[in-house]
Amino acid sequence: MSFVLAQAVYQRTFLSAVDIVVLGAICFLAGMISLDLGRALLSYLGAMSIALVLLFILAMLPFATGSYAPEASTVMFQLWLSIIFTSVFPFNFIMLLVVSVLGSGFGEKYL
Amino acid sequence: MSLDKRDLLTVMLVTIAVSSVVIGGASTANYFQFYSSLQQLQLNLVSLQWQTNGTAIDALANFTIVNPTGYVGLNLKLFQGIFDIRGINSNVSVPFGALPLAEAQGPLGPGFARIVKIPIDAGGRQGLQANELLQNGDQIEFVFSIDLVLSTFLDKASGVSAAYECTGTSGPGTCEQLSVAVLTSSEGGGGGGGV
Repeated sequence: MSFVLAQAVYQRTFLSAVDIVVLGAICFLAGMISLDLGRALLSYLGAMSIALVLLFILAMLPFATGSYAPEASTVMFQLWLSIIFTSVFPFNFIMLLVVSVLGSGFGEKYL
Repeated sequence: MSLDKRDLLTVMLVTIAVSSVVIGGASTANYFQFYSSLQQLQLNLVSLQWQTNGTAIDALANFTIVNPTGYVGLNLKLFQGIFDIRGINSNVSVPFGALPLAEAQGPLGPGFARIVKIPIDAGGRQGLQANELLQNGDQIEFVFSIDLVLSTFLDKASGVSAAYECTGTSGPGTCEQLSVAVLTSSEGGGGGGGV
């Protein structure tokens, strides 16, 4: 999930329809494999949290070298926080959560 | 049987995850070069030719913009600036205002040199002042303050521009990057940061 988000926000700062479909497929498959609603929900929340934290750390990594002005780091910190937040919350976050739940229901029924 | 289906789905998930890591990894590696590409973006004053008719100075300045890094995704949106003519001996500066807008939009790929030609017609009262410098035996140099407004992947969230100062007497000149600004805006106002 993190790298799907990475190729989206590091190239255009927002998720395209294709990105959302790929993320949806990952969530649906993961939900199906988990075979349990509670586990699917927890897995989704955990995976999404890790993905967003990793995405933010990678976005700020170039500024960790200290070769840029401190003001630049501050501005980019706020900018990336805003980019990552708006690209996922709230619509995509809720939609992918629902897809994970659907996946788990599908898995429980057919696997 | 259900275990087989689950294994198949796991293989599919792993395949998608690995593909995503490969594609996302390439984008991330490219992103890591973004800020250094802004810092290293070169504006060169390749040549400057000028002549005077006693009242006005006609000049042609040729610039190149080079992205020396491997970063893919920089585009030049606008080449804008102002220029002065300065007497080298007297240190008198004659401001001429905005440079003519140049047709310079386009991608700045790795290693690619975008050529920008700026024809300058330095006439009017300032033209007479600049000619006065020449008539007094002064040598003149052109001082260009140029902003390269860039289109990047951050366009949806912010604007990026790089400021340069170029000086030249005739022939090739020198350019120095003064700053790179990433401008953000919000409801409460605007903000910016130099990279």
